[in-house]
Amino acid sequence: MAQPQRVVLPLQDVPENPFEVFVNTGDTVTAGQKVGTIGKAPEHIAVHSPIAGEVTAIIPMPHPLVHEVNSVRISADGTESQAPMQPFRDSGLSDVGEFFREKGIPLDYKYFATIATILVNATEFEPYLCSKERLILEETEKFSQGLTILLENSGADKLIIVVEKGKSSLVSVVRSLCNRIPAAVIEEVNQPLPDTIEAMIRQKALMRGIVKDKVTAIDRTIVIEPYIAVAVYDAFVLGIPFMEQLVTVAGSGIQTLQNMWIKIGTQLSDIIQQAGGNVSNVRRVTLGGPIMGRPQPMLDAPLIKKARGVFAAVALAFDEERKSRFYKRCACVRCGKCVDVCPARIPPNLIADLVEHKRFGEAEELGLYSCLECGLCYYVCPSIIPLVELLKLGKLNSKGRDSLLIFNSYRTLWT
Amino acid sequence: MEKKLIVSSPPYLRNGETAHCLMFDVFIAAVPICAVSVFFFGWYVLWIMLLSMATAKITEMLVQVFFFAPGFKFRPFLYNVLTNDDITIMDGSAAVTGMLLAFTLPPAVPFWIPVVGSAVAIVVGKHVFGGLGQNIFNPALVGRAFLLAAWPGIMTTWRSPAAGNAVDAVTTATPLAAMKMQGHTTPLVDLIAGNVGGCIGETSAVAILIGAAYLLYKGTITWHIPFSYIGTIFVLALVLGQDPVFHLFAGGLLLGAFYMATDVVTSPVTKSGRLVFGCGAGIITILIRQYGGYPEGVCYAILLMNALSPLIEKYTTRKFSQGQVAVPVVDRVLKNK
Repeated sequence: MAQPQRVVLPLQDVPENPFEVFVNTGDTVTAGQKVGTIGKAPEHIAVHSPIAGEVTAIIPMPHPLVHEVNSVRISADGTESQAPMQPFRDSGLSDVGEFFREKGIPLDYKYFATIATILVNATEFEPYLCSKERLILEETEKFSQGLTILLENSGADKLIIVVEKGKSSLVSVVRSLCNRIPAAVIEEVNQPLPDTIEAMIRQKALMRGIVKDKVTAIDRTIVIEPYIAVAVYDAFVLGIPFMEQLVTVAGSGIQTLQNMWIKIGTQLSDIIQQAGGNVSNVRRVTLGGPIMGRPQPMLDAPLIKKARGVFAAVALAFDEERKSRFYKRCACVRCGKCVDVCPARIPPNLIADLVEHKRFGEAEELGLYSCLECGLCYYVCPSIIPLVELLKLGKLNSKGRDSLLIFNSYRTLWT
Repeated sequence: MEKKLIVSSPPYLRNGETAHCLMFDVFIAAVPICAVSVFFFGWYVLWIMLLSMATAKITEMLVQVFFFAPGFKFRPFLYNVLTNDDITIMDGSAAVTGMLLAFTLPPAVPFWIPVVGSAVAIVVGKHVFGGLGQNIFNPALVGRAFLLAAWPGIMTTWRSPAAGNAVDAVTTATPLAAMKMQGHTTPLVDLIAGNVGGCIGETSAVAILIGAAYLLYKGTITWHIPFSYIGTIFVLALVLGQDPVFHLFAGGLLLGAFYMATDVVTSPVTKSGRLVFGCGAGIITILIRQYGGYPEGVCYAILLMNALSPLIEKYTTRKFSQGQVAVPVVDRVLKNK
């Protein structure tokens, strides 16, 4: 994608977060220059300007996940000036985690020092999106090098790459990669895994800690997406901070569905225009795919680091007036389709029924906390029952609600 | 003014299927059965089916107008019936019940039998329990069980298919009754094609299998119940020294296995529960056929298993202790050696 004219770089995840900013309004910045940090040192993650230009404002701006947070707005000045790139051996830092924080790579640093297993989720859960697969196929060398670097520099002794059965080209590439890295194993699954499994693993550890106070090897796992391995290679060997992301732009509001390398901080309206969409036409825009993405109330919001897709749809398909009279909620006919598709193997229809009658204890017994909030049950439900919303409601109202993570935000923490 | 973006809870995609699709799939699957039964028993069976479906719809409408639609306005009547949200006659479930009931009636019943049967099926089988999705027993089988208990003579007078459209009906015996009472076996070709005495929908194995293949292809039913049901019958018939193929194609086993036992409302939602459900129905069927007084046991077997279905469901769902989080696929991936 062409160089964006302006970018918005959020300095906070939530409005209460501390942040630091190293530039002032009116300053000139170069591409790759560190403009601030999310959080204060030592628990921080650096934010870099992806374009060369001038800082026009440091004000609260729309954020894709929360309403408004303090952000740096930068306008391009047309120059191509680059900040000096420092690989790990030139940086003078001894800790790899510290180095990755300085390069702005969104890892789960709280657990990074003590991990035993790295799980790479290479299955694509969302329809329309294919950026993970393309990234692995096109940047295979960087991907495998990045994984090796992560393995060598963390405590992990095992690397599991999860791929979906039937994606033959991906499977063959990953298999040859696993032959080269001794610690890596390939795991083929029938059904793609949703992106919330990392939150699920944390939730499990948290719950077990509350009940039994014991942490097992399975809990010491971090789940990473393929783009992190590529970013790790770029940062570690070439010294490039994480400023660019392979993003699938799709949906009925887009003229040509495509994967694009997009600078972090590009506003959604610019992305949609770049992909040939009409900004005045789209009515529903999500960051992420159409099944688990985050809905966006305004197009000023920037692209953040953990987003792999932008889904923009025009209003024809979901206008309430256009729907048939039959296209509304009716009684559960117990067809069991939600049970058949659920990746967590729980009965969503029975749990939703219990939640509606406020019987949260029984819902918990049927596996309410294991719900991955992936939305497949609503996708297949012939009675159009809002199962995902009911299950989330059950989690919010149940006894252990204080210890529950918000799944859909967890994977987007540390923008 | 600039239009705003729409924000709602994800997901935004649906596969577009509604509950009506499930019902109309059953109608499409029933077309071969209707055609074969009209071919063998004459046009009168079509009237039985239409009468049964119409009665089911009208009964459901009356029940809902008087008991389940509090703000119903009677004028203009038809408009209000078609547009009221509390009246669900257009969703096809009542018509499916009526049609399945008609399939279980003998071809030469008087016209009031399907009328009474459908009314009982809808009122006692369905709305007494709270309507669609709440009923314990399969409504069509409730209707048939009621008719069989109330008018056993009419319900066991079978018309010979050889008579075709002729006015003077010739009575005959069903293959199972002939086997049980006289020890007389029916040729297998007749059993498969449907050229035997029996209920409207149950005689032709070919037509039922075509419809069942469509239902399986569309995903309206899953293979668990029919195959465990039929497999159990097959194995038990072998063990008891009977002809298993005869037991498969004679009587209402195929109709019951593919259309009645797979009724989504009254069968368990878990896959393992469905297997148990089918096995149990198979055992009860073979017990009734072999040792009971009736030649046919499918109807009562399915009704008995319907009653057990909540219990099966309770014991086949995973139980979680307090605060337990477990997703099998992730655990399996992480335990990879």
